[in-house]
Amino acid sequence: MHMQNNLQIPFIDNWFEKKLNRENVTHVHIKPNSPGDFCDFPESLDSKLIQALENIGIDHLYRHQFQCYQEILAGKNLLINTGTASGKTLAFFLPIINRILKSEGPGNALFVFPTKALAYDQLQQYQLILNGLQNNVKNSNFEIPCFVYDGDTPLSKRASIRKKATLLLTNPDMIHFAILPYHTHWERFISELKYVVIDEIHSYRGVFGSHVANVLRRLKRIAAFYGRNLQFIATTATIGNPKEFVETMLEEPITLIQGNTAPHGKKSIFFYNPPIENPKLGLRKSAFAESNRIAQEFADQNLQTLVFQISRRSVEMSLKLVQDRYGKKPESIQAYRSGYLAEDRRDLEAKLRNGSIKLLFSTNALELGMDIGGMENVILCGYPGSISSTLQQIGRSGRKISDSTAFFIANSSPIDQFLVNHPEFVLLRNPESALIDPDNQLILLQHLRASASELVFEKGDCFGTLSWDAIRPILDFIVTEGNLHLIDDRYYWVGSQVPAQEISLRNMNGGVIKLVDSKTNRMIGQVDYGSSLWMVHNGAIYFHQGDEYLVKELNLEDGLAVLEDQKYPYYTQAKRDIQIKIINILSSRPVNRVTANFGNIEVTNKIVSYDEILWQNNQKIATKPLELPEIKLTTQAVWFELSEEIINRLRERNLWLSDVNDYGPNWGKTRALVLARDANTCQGCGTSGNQRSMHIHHIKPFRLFDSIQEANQSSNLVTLCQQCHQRVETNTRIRSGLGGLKYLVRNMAPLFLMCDYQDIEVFSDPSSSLCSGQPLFLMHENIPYGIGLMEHMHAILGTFLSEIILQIKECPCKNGCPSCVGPETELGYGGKLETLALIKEILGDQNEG
Amino acid sequence: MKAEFERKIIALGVHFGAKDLRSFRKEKADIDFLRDSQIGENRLGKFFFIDKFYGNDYIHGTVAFSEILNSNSEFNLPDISVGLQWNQCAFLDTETTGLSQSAGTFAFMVGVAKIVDHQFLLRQYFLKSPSEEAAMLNDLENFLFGIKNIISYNGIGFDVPILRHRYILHKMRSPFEHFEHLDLLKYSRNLWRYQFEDRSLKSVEARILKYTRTSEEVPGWMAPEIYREFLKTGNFSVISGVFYHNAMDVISLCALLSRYIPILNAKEAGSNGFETINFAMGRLHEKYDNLKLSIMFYQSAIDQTDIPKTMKIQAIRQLSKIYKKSGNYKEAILLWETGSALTDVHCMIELAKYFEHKERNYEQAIFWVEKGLQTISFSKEYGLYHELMYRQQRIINKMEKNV
Repeated sequence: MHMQNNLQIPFIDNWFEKKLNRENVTHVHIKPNSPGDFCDFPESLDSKLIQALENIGIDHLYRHQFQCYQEILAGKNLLINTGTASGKTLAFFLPIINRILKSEGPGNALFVFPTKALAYDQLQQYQLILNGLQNNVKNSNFEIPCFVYDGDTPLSKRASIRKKATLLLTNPDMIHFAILPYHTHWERFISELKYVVIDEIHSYRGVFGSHVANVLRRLKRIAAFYGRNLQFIATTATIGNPKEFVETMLEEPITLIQGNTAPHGKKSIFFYNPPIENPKLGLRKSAFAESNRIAQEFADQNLQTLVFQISRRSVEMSLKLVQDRYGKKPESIQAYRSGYLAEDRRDLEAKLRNGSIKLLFSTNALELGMDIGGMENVILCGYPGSISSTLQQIGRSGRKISDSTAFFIANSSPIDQFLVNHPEFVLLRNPESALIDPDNQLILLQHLRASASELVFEKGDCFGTLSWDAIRPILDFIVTEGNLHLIDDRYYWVGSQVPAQEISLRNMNGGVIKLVDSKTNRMIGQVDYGSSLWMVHNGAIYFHQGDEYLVKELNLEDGLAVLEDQKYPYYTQAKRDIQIKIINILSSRPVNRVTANFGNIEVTNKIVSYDEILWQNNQKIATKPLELPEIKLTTQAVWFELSEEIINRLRERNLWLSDVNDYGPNWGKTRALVLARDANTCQGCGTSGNQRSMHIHHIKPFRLFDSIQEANQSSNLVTLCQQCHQRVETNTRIRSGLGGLKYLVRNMAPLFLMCDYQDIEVFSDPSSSLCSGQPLFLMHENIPYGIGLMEHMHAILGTFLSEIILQIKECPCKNGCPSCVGPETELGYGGKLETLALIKEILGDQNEG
Repeated sequence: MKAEFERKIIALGVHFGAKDLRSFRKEKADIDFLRDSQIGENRLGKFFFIDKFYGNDYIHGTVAFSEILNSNSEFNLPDISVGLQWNQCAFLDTETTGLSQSAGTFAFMVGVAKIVDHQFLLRQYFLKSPSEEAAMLNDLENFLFGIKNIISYNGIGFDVPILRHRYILHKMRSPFEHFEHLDLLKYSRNLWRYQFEDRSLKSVEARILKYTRTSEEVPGWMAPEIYREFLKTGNFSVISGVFYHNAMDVISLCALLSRYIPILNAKEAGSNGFETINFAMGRLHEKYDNLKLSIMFYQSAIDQTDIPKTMKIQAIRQLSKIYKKSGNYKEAILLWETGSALTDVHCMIELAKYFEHKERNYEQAIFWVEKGLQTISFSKEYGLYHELMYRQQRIINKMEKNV
């Protein structure tokens, strides 16, 4: 624990003095204040623009803004990574406007935002400058037409926007299905297009990012058709591999500007772990309750606080709880989430900026760049899903001069517990690398279809950095589909459809199941076909942005799932029958004591039934059969087998001998009865012995029972010889160790791969036919053909295992809990010792102790 | 989109897939139409087309082409200020690979007709290969030289923008910026909105021109699939039905325009067997601010015995609105009374308004309000009921004040 005695905010000091608070804070990180580094406006900046800036109170630039200006002026592709509230907008907006003012050739600009809300927020900021400019120009006709073009733009306005826009704010989806396929309607705009600004480019990772990379390839093709060579400017939050990632995305060399030179006050970041309430089960006080408590303490001190929560429901619940406490509805306490009307959200943002809201509960809807000013305090109620988001949310606190605070409050998930004990993972290490694979065959196929319909391909053409030889086989395949006609080495689109309209950027497969709320008859979202089978089968409880729905009907024919919004006391878990076939091994390398393979596999998945499990105690209340088609998935995987050697060593170490159970006062009697029943004969191999030499084995492990009587029921006991007992115990322990490893990896891998939870799957088999009966551990992507997640995992496997072993070692529970290897159950989770032994065995001796 | 397309075909009893297009595949004798085919060539390459002439002896349904070819060449239409010349019109229809306006849709067949030497010359361009498009577009531009008006059916919304974008894709200047477009679909809508459910070209030509197509016809929506089949096999017999379809679309445009000119220019009412046409003409002239004609047609519609009651009421409402706007209350009152006799509550409300505000005759006003309240049903016309109640209360208040 690193702690300064005086944090210099009187309230914080007092708060921290309370024992309850201090004991639970695992770490305080202090970021010292900085006076900032200022520059004069660049000489080339138009005087009208300078005046417009001065009118809105800007009379200088920060050093990094100046640098950005110069790089953009020099024609470089630029990546701006300078943190929240560093004035990124000005950094790229000034050179773009300056070029237009000075009429230095084509200067249209396309601004791409990951969300609609962000586009409107930015529009306001642009217009502030543009309006100021307009007032300074004598010519009353002077105007730089600036519009948002998105799904909400009325059809009646679209044609005139196409005709007029110089600056266009939109999102990648819109470029994908509303601009590129109709590029001839955009001839005027694209013929003058110079800049493409991609804000928050780190949001485009995984499948979405791989799609967006291909949309950019298509955009460049179209731009080239109209004789334009584009200059790209991107902004990103902190990720592990900004330059590499953006160069993969843009397929252009890029200049990186890092380092925030804006002034800021001192900032203290607290890592807070709620206290354990139930030591036996390792249950902690909920992050939800703790963050509400702390938020109120700050609100009572009139310190402006923003609380980030995971679900919309918890945002609403917090608001209600806090309002109830005050017995009225104070205007200064509000909630913010998606689903609110746009104007209400704008209003909340404005009130946050002007300080009239003191406490706001929000989902991650406020995480991305919306201009809300710096908070005095931010509270993260639980890990938001990636390190990048964590930093982004923490970054929402910070004042130009005065001090600020941020709290990370952990819930009981393995990732949260890991991070609260390893804040360096958030603060010091490189955050996750953003991964994309623009060349994923399925994604590429979809975008080549789209691109071919937009512009004829001819022999020798490239697609992004892909050569003719790389794309030709795919084009030939589209010919066989009947959508392309090949003649004289040219590929003509003859299909009737607009292929882009059948591709969702935020999804993998063309086949999409729409989720419809039965009450409102409104579509609330969609899932891809493959996931629909296990996520929204009949009877499933489905979570959507924190809201709970029961699936009334999954209609695969019409691509529809009908949901009912209601709260249930149980959740569901689909049971699948999984067959894995290894197609080929692409690379193998030793990782400590195992050989890690990376390659292609085929997974055949059939959802056969589902369980209904009570929230309250995780008790299964029903298993219901399902009749669903099987799905085949070809994808990439990482796997290793546990050699006989490893198993022998686990056996030799006789782990379990250190763990003698007290079988109760009647054990002698019970034992004799079982021996008599089994005639002193080993039920494993048939050898017989005497009362002393034979062992009695608990079929379901003793420690999983609450009462001795139940554990010692004769049906749970069997006579075994010493060798057989050892083998059976080892198998149970390996099964249990594999189960624990599976749980831990399943939960922790997304942190290291910067992917969504559902992007990967983990599979283990104590005796797998894929490796001649040896235990197998395998992780695979859920994304067809993979997007590089497993390739990355293959590279980091050793580090990954040595990181996650800490999670088990440091967890205060006894036999396993939801925060480490999973709760103890008969299903094979749990087994903390076994999991620990297994990972240690894999990693080798150097990691012992 | 595709699934919908497939379902549509299956619903029509046709099996999906190119092999099932066999029914449209004609015997060898049917590729006679190729007799007149020609290969043109210009700086952009070769292109395929068929020219066909329709002269004085041609009769299309009830329209003898000699009527057109021998008529005074100039004509007028209600919303167009200048006179038009038949020999400056080109009639255009395309067959495309799809229905969207995206860059991926192109016209594989362009049928275009104009008058040349006292005959209609119909030229049908056909892309034997998509690679012939640039040469074809170039020749189309030449064909349209000297033309001032393009006549089409939904061409403003569909065919013309698609062609215009094809010129952009070939980096050619589009000739379509220079024409004034007449979209006969617009007139069909104006004229037949109340008469026919289906105002597609095929339906209108059957009803107005009494023209029925032969068994050669294939439905237009099948054309894209047939074209893809042609590209695969190069077999012209597959496509002959599309040539027929496209030719008849263009020729029907010529005939239809000649029928529409007298109807649209009529200065006197007359139903010609279409009982809603006087009302439709009333609306049309109202839209183009020709109130004199509008009043005449509305009045004729009201006087008609064979007009449906709802339409009669509608005509009364429209016409009385015109009179009211121009301050001619005398005529308006007569109409409102007729409407009230037909139990139209809106007319009763108009009368109530008139007596309340203009005449300040509150007794009359309250009479019409109460009549209205008796006429409507509370449960079905809740909004109207409340409006009347409100009005009633207000008039009563005024009456009390006056006492």
